[in-house]
Amino acid sequence: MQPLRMTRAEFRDFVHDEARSASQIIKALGSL
Amino acid sequence: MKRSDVGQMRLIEPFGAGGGPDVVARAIARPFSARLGRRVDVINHPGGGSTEAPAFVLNAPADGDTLLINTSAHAYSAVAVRDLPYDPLKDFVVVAPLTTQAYVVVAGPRAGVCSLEELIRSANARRGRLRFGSTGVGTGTHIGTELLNRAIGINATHVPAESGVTDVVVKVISGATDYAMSPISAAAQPLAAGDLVALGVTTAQRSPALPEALTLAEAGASGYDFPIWYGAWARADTPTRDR
Repeated sequence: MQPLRMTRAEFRDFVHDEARSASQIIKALGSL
Repeated sequence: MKRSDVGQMRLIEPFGAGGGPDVVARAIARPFSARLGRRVDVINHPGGGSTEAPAFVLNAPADGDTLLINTSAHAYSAVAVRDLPYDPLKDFVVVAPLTTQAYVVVAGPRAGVCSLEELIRSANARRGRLRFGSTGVGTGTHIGTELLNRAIGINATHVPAESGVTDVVVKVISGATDYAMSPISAAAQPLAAGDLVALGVTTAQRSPALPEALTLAEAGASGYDFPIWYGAWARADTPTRDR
C-alpha cells in the first residue's frame, strides 16, 4: 500500500482521467 | 463552537468488512479522531455493486461529517454503470487522495488451476464457460479482470457479487466462480489456509503484503499493471468553510 502523493486538485483531475480511460477500455472491450 | 466541532463523523465504505476500503478507513479513523477530537466511525455499506454507499453519503447532510471512502470504482462507475442515481464526478468533491495498492487474482480449489498459465488452458478448454467474480459492475475488480482476460486472450463470464468483497471470496472458495480479483487483505487468510491459490498480483512490482506471489505480468500477462487507488470524497455541496 503506497500513499497517493498528489494534491486534491491533482487527484480530482486524476479521477476524471481514470473515468475517461475506463470509457475507452469499455469501448475497446465492446461491452461489459 | 461550530457544528462541525462536535458529534460523530462517519466514514462510509462500499465493499464490506475486510475489504480494501474498510481496512484503509479503519487505518485513518483513529488518527483522524485523535486529531479532530471527535469520534470517527467506519460504516460498511456494501450493496448495488458499490453504488449504495455513495448514494448513502449523498442522502446525508452536506456538513462534511459523512465522508465516502471509495476506490477506482468511483471513477469507473461514472462510465460503466447505467442509470446511476447520482453522478460520481459532479455530485462529489475530493477531500483527499489516499492510497494505491496491489490486488491479487485468486482461484479456488474447484477451479483446478494453480497458475495463470493453467487458467488460460482451462478457459480455452471450457470455451467461455469459466466464471470470474467481482465486487460489482464497473468496480476496479471488474474492469481490472476484464483487462486481464483481454491481456491473456480468454473469454469468461462475469458473476458480480451480491454483498461485497466477502461474497466474492466465498464464491471463489465454494466454486460458484472460478477466479476473481480481490484486495490482498480479504484473500490473505484463505490463501494462507490453502483455500485459495494466488495467480498473481495486479501491479508491475510484487507486493510486500504477498511477497511470494508473482506479478500477473511475470505470470504471463505481459505488461499488465492495474493498481487499485483509493480516495475520500464529500458531497459536492458541502460548504467550503467545512472542508
